Amino acid sequence: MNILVACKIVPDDQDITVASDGSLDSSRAHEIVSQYDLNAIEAAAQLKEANEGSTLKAISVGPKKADDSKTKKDILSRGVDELYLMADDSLADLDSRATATELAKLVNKAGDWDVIIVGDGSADDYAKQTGVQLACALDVPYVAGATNLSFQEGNLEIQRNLESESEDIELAVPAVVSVSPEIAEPRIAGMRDILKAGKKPQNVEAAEEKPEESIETVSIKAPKQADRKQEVFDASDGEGLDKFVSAVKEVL
Amino acid sequence: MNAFVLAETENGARELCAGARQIADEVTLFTFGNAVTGVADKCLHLQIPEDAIADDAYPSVNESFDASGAKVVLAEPTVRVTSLAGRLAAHANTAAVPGVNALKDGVATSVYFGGTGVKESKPETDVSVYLISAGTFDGTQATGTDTVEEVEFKAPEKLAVKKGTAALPKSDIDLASADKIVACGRGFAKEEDLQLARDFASKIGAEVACSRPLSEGVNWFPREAYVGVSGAVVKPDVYFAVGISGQMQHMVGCNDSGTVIAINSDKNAPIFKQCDVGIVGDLKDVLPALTKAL
Amino acid sequence: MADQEPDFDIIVVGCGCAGAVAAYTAAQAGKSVLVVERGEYSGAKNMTGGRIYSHALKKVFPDFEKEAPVERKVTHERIAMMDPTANMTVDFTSDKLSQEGKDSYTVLRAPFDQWLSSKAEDAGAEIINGIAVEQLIKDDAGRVVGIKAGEDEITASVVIVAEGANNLLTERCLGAKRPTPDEMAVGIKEVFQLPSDQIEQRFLCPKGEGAAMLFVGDCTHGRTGGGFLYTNKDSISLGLVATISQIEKADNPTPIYQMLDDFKHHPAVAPIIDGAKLVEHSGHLVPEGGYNMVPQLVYDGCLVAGDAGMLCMNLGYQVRGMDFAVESGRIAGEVACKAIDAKDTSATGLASYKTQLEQGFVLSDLKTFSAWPETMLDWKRMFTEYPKAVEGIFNAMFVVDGQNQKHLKERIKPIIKEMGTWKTLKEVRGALKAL
Ligand SMILES: Cc1cc2nc3c(=O)[nH]c(=O)nc-3n(C[C@H](O)[C@H](O)[C@H](O)COP(=O)(O)OP(=O)(O)OC[C@H]3O[C@@H](n4cnc5c(N)ncnc54)[C@H](O)[C@@H]3O)c2cc1C
Ligand SMILES: Cc1cc2nc3c(=O)[nH]c(=O)nc-3n(C[C@H](O)[C@H](O)[C@H](O)COP(=O)(O)OP(=O)(O)OC[C@H]3O[C@@H](n4cnc5c(N)ncnc54)[C@H](O)[C@@H]3O)c2cc1C
Ligand SMILES: Nc1ncnc2c1ncn2[C@@H]1O[C@H](COP(=O)(O)O)[C@@H](O)[C@H]1O
Repeated sequence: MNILVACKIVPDDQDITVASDGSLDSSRAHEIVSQYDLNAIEAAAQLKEANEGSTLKAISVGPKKADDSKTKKDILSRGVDELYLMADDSLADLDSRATATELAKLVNKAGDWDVIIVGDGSADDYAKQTGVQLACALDVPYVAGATNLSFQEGNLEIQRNLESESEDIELAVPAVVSVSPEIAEPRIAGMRDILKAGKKPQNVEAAEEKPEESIETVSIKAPKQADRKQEVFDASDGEGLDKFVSAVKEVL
Repeated sequence: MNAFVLAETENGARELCAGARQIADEVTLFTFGNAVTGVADKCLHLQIPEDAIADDAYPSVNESFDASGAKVVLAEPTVRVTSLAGRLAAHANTAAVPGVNALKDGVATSVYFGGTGVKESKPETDVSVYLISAGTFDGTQATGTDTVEEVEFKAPEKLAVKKGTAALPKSDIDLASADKIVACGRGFAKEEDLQLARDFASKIGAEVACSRPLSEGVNWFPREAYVGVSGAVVKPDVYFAVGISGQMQHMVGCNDSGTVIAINSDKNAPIFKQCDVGIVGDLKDVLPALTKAL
Repeated sequence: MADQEPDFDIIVVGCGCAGAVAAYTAAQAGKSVLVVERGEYSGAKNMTGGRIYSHALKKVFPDFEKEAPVERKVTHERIAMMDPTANMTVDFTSDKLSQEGKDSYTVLRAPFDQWLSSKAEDAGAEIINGIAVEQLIKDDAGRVVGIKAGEDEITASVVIVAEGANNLLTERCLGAKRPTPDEMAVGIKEVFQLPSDQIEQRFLCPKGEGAAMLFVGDCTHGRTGGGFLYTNKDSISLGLVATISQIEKADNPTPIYQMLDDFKHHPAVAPIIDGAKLVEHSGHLVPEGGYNMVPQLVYDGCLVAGDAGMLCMNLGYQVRGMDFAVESGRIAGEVACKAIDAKDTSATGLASYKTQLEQGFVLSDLKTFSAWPETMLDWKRMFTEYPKAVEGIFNAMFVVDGQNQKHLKERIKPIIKEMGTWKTLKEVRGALKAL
């Protein structure tokens, strides 16, 4: 079967700093694959490996700096055969509908496909909307939150957890499926995987035109932080543990 | 103006209808859970067929929405409603605003980057769709004289087949009313080590909670036990974060605790900037020492 | 394995100053190069005090100061001798300090190493990040033929080990002896954010220029070591270096982070960082045993460069490691290429690495100052009594209290006497000889 996986490239939130005016500054942040999209890539890779003769291509839409050699290699070192990336500053921080419109263009370029796997939600917006919007754009079924995914006799077999019950679902392809992070632990790529990744095809293109957005971002600011005392002891320092225990006793 | 509420649980329906009442003259509730009365002007109820999934009810939802003439949609962020809200947004040529925890004059406030930021956004389209987090309209009462109207399930052309369903095990974890919480993170290398936290917690009468990876990564805890932006938001008097690095996504779930106490072996762990008392040390040494001393 | 074509001409372990320059040099010469770096990106965990002398880097990148992310050009040298309650600072500036080739720049490793690494990558080197090399693989004859990490083995004609001061591979796979606690120091550093105009005001520097400052005396509470401070664009790097044997001693009452805390609160330091926000904390090893601790650097199929070869020098008034790393990396890259072209990558084929280091400044400077590390360790009073004496002398000069004054000589004599005139002269002579 032919599998596509959508993954978003985002700044590493560990590197995001708060500027003096309270806005967020991600200019010094490294680009990484959105945390739970690594689980989606892994689920897709496992699906590919379980179905001989399958292909796996990744699709992604983002700003110019998403076109980052390390991040692209990272995606391709995880069992992905080929990458389709649309990187353009007019594609930064799109809402889910606009993202889906652009992703759909990449889907059409990536050739035949049976299933598109998306992550639980992106690290920045955590909207859980792009997958369903993409399904609408492509006019195919969508199932959210798979914790297990396999391909049997031409159909996808899906398990998922809702709030208080689980469901077993059968779904004909083509379809879009979002996967819960617990579906698969991301692999740790080896040196050979990374070397091979560098030689896999990467199709990087700019935006055709600035997509139309539905949501206007009014502001993004750092939240107010609770003032904490930050009294930190060190256990390796003789009395550190005792002092800590006393401090805890005081609190309790 | 009309508002359209999309909900599946009774609590969700009540809260969102109450919120909708503040911004609209007329409120239509659409639910595929139990029908709720007395909260909206009209309650549309849809029974999902045995072998279908609620996500595939979107043709019916979209049609009811069109008929209601509503311009605003408030949706409950459950798995299935989130998916229906997306279908509805696409149908109305817009995108849903996710993770809304405050809504004023059409401007929604959402968590951004797991709590690293706060984002304010506003739909520029004819129709606005908001996914509203629980608690956003706390304290407002829903009113209505609605009667229930059954809606027919219109299957989409291509649909999923539900083959089975099972109740998830109920957990007896009660984080909401706990005044002390001991939360465990990936610093626990082995499941057995959790006993150290349990012993300590039972000594001081605390609930045991966790970070998301311990629940959804390794399944050592039920989903109700994880604290954070996508999990439980807790406000105990004392919160122990043990072997938790202090990522924003976790901390927004416990930032309102009275006192935060951190145990972590890495002195550069971000948790130490967000705690009142902390110790740089191995949880395997520190927890037994605490249990013994208290 | 020997008959098989190796995967790469050259593998470089570590993408710090030494590794990146070695990889760049070799890739530029047309060789196939693989760099394996443990950090998620180059420089992720690397640390330095803060100043690189430009001369060595200029040989590789003649215009580096125009494109590299350097912080400030150092035009002010300060040396401070501090006592718990007093401090004497010498502030020196001269146009020589800013002449091309004699100049130096403050750097932060994260951006700087990424720039170096991008240079190597642009030149054609392949870079793998996020994987630590676990082993050097050898053939039956004991010749290094490649590297191993996880399941994967990758081979090369020459492996350049540039893994830095914590040189586990050099020790484990090449048999270098583990440095003694006398030969290693630990450095800890904090970075404080401060707007650039405030830095210029606090250090009286023109725009874009900055100061390097070294401290002796009380900053390490009388232990062998010293403090440093470097001005970056909009931050200040501040830290301590202390010899491991000294701080590990049972009688040492102050752990190093406590020393740093006290140092930050010293009246000579506190105002400099007043109001600045702490943004980064790091710790790292510093080789400071000098020439006598340099291990074997050339093996069959393998060269050791930079801190991994203990090519680092701490003179108290001069800290140099990055220029040594750059120079040794460049030479290692060049020598490896020549050896591959000449089809002899045995220790003999690679031997000119060592001779070039000896002829150039790297080993020559280390040799010149080879007596210093021991002299410094033995010169305990430098960190205790000298700063006290200096305080006494300057108090004698500057304190006016309305009492009848005596001649300066009369006032200073008792201080010198207490220090022991001969002993002091001998020590200072010894030190000057070693320096
Ligand atoms: C969209 C999104 C939503 C998310 N929502 C949530 C959420 O709601 N809740 C949540 O928790 N996470 C959430 N996450 C995940 C979050 O980003 C972090 O990955 C997670 O919180 C990390 O969990 P942790 O601190 O347990 O693990 P780690 O970050 O791996 O930290 C483990 C810590 O344990 C310490 N340690 C190791 N060994 C020991 C020892 N022996 N003794 C003491 N300390 C030790 C380490 O120093 C480290 O600091 C979300 C992520 C995303 C992208
Ligand atoms: C506190 C302090 C202050 C200093 N001040 C100065 C100064 O002001 N001026 C100056 O010139 N020098 C200074 N130095 C010395 C200088 O920082 C070092 O000499 C220099 O960084 C050495 O460069 P390197 O490339 O040899 O090693 P490093 O910069 O340490 O690079 C080694 C690289 O190898 C990687 N690595 C290690 N092991 C592996 C592995 N197994 N597999 C893959 N990758 C691996 C590491 O991640 C790292 O990136 C200072 C040092 C310290 C600690
Ligand atoms: N810009 C993007 N490029 C590729 N995939 C994306 C993008 N944005 C979202 N996705 C996918 O859609 C999922 C849900 O994203 P979101 O709706 O933003 O929470 C993510 O986990 C990704 O798999």
